[in-house]
Amino acid sequence: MTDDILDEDRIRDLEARIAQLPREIEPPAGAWTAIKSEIARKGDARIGRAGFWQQPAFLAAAALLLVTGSSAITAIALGRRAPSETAPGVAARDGARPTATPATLAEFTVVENDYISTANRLSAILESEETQLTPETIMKLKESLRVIDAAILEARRALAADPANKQLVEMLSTSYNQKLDLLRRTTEMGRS
Amino acid sequence: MTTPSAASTPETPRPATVSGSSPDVIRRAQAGDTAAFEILYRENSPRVYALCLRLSGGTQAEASELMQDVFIRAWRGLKSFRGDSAFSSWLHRLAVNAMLESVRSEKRRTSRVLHMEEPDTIGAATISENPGLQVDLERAIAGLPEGARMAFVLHEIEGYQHEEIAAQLGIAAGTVKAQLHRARKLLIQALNR
Repeated sequence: MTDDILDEDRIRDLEARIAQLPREIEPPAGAWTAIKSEIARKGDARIGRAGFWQQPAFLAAAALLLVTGSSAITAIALGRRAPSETAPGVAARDGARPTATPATLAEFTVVENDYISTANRLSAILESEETQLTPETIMKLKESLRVIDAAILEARRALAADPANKQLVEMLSTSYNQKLDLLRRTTEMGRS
Repeated sequence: MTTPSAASTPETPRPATVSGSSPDVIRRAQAGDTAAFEILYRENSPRVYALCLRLSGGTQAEASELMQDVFIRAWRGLKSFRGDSAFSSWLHRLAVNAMLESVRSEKRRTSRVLHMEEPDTIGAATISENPGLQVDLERAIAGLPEGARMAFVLHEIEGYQHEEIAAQLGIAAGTVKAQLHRARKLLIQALNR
């Protein structure tokens, strides 16, 4: 057998052995318990640490502390690109992005759907173009989004307790905008 | 094996036909019924675990963690499952994506996985534990370089076509074929030592 030409008999033997491999293998006994407790821990919200690209953006519902933090992270991760440098085609699809900050949680909830659908759309674009990004960029993007999403969640919780707090609504809105900016700019990187 | 897919796929169950998870059970799980989701887990976990075990290189702890991650992702994303494909196919895709993500984010070796920059040898640590024994195929597969192993497992064991693997791994179909050729060569060498 040379480097490039494989012996037919040996290939047939290999195929025969492959055909005998079990297609099913019983997982460790405690696996379901671990899964179940993880599911229960997260509640029905179905949020959490799973795959970044699969995370439902609706879970990343709102934000806070993050306003300054995510800017720095974004800058580090993406190398300071002007916010106006949106990806061709993306800006048009992001037309729903809210511009005026609602005064209360109730008002914000109306525009929140736009944020979420836009984030979902951008995440889908990113997912399809993920292979065009470097591992370092993907890692930094994940880290940044994890921070942003955590802040969004914090703000959401704070607003649930104080729905009329305008500052919290503003912070939530700002964090959403930062998330969208981060996703947009990363999408653009994937295309450049 | 000039036409690998033709040679191996007739006996190889396609992911889409593996599971007969009932639509009712899936609907209940989608509605948040964990008991229904457990049924889905019981039906599908042996196959998903086998896939995770082989994709991850035979490490049980890593395979178990990967499988758990797959089912947690599945739980979170159940509402997005519309039944266009079999539930098991959907799970398979989640497993492959989880593995790829794990490779990319944790091992940071994307370029090695997606291209051909891996060592052209079977992992010594994996197959040298019992040097006096005949080399076991599973062990040899586990010792393959990552890119070759993923291509081999998905094609030869799971029955995916070259183009499907290429799409999932984000590489060219030609690269998949090259990885498969390399995997076969390495396995034959290992099995005939």
